[in-house]
Amino acid sequence: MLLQILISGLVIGSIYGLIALGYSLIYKSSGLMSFVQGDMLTFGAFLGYTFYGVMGIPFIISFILVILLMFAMGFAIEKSVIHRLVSKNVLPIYTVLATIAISYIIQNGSMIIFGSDIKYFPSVTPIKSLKIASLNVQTESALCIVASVIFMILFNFFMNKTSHGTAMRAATMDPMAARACGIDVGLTTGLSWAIASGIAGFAGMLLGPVYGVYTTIGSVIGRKGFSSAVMGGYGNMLGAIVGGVLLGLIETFLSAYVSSAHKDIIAYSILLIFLFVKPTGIFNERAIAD
Amino acid sequence: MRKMKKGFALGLAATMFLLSACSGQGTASGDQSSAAEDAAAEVSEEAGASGESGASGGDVIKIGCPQPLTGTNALVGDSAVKGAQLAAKEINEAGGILGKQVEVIVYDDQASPEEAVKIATKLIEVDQVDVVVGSLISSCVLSSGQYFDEVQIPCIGTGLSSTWMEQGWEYVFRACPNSGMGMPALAEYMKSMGITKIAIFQGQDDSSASGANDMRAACEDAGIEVLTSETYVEGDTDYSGQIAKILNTNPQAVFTSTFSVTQAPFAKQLRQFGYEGLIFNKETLSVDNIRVAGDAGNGYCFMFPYVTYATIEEIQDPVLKEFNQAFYDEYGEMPYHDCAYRAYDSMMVFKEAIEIAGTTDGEAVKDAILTINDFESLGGTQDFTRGDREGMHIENFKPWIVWNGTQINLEDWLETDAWTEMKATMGL
Repeated sequence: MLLQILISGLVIGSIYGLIALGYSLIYKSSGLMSFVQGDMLTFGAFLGYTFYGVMGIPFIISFILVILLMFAMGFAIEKSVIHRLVSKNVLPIYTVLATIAISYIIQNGSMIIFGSDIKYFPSVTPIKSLKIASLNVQTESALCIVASVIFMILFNFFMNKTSHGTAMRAATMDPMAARACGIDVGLTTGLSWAIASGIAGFAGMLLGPVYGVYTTIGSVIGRKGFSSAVMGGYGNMLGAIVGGVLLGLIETFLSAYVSSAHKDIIAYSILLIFLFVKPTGIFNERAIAD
Repeated sequence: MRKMKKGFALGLAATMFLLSACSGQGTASGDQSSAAEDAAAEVSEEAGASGESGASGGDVIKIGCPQPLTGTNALVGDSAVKGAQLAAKEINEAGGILGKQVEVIVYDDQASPEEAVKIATKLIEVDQVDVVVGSLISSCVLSSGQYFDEVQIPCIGTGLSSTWMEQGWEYVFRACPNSGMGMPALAEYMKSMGITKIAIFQGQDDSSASGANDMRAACEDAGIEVLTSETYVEGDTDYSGQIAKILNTNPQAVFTSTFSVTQAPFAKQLRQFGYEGLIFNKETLSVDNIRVAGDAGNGYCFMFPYVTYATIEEIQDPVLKEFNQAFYDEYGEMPYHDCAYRAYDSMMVFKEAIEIAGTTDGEAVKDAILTINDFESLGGTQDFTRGDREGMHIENFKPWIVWNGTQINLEDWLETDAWTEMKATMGL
């Protein structure tokens, strides 16, 4: 039983982590906060359902299509809304508000396009479940854990060791100086939104077979992903995943051993404690404005 | 800077407009609109004090039909509206009621109690409806029922919660199941199967919480021990902690009272944790949920007067078969949810009552409803003479089980080998 709870905590935690990764990536590369990640997950799941579940396109192709489309959508949102607002020099809070508006538009749009019923998303592999130490774990659930670890390592490497990653960080710290060094600030910011959106679409594709697809699937996950990012250190890639897994485990163990009615109160109180005691998160990520 | 701010504000306003336009858009045909803009401020005493029946007195009998047509309940609301409109069509084709044609006036209550009050005011003041069928959202009936009661407009709610019928409103009726009645029926059935210990998994919204409360009370009466009651927060997708706690108490069966979107993921996770016994549910499982749950849905039981079907061929009951065929012929699809049955039955009860009363006067119709006692409907015989303003009672509930993707009669299933096998895993 303990092992089963641990695995469940890891699965939901790694999904929180993947979403947190998107938040952190956007923050790290543009200094902006976004609230659309959860709804991007929903939209990605719906796209996956359409390609794979309805049109019957093979999973790998559907998967690539979803990631590409979500990538393009993230880029388009940044260019058409966020970039325009930022270039008008508006207060940062306005861009945050804009992301909230976009989040509602995506949620309502998905409802109008796809309907509000729960959709059946076929399994992505012929192997229904994996046997891990005498436990049956749905293959997609196991994939979530593996994928989040791979993404975490990749993005940490990407942000800190590659020239593109360095360019992204530079673009955030001082856009003008970055431009002077020949960095295309607009492109790097657009790319970070695109990648974040791609990750959300990826997470949506993995969640679909586990939970089914419906319009609010991403809204709570989005909120919890945000909390995870804060716990881990907002803007830190390792922190995003660690924060996500931590929140997933805290929640699951609280409802298993303490009280399911109070689990959110306790989990979010821990978030508040983090904000008071260690606002830089587990990985001591200083806010860029510092 | 100021210009920029102005531009941003305009943009924001445009977005908000777009959002409200989206949420106000209905999906069913008929005379519908969001009442928010019309009725906002006048919720109220004036409506209550007017004391008029609101009857139109013209050549048309107006039936208000507030249902959720946007949001997560949109498809269910759409089913209800289609059920009501199909009834209106059949009534009109057969010459109407008292020679008058029936008009269904549809509004989107957005599953919001606040919106429901605005719509009630509009139905009373502007549309001057004769009677009301809806809403399927119990909290909407709870918030709007008193307005219809005060102006003596009979309303047949299509929600299942026991809460709004406990208010004592003389003009508010129900022609569909009261989930509070289903629970004693279900508890008695569990007892007859030899189940003595259960665990409960429930949501915190009005309908889920009242379903769970009713079940706890019913279990107490039936002598079934409730080992634990675990809750979840709406929007949660992972229930493993709760499941672990439930299974640690070693129950013979699990009872769930949740929102629709929770059912399939919960079933899958429960099965992943190794639970192989029966799962009792407060209501039916939608066809989509059965598909999403897959094998995990096998063994979901419930008591309900009727279920929805994927095809006409699988329907055994001749009355439901005829209705589903008519629905399919009209809309080219099967009813998505049993709310289509609920709204249809409610419309037919009004037809009967108005014909008995010989008028659309609210008080006369109300009194006429109270005399109906052997009215055959989709959900069996309706009897309003018992003084509880409910048409359906415990006898209307039938036991069902989900097995291999379809909903079949539980009694028949209990005769099969599958039950013999499962019985052992449940410790019975």
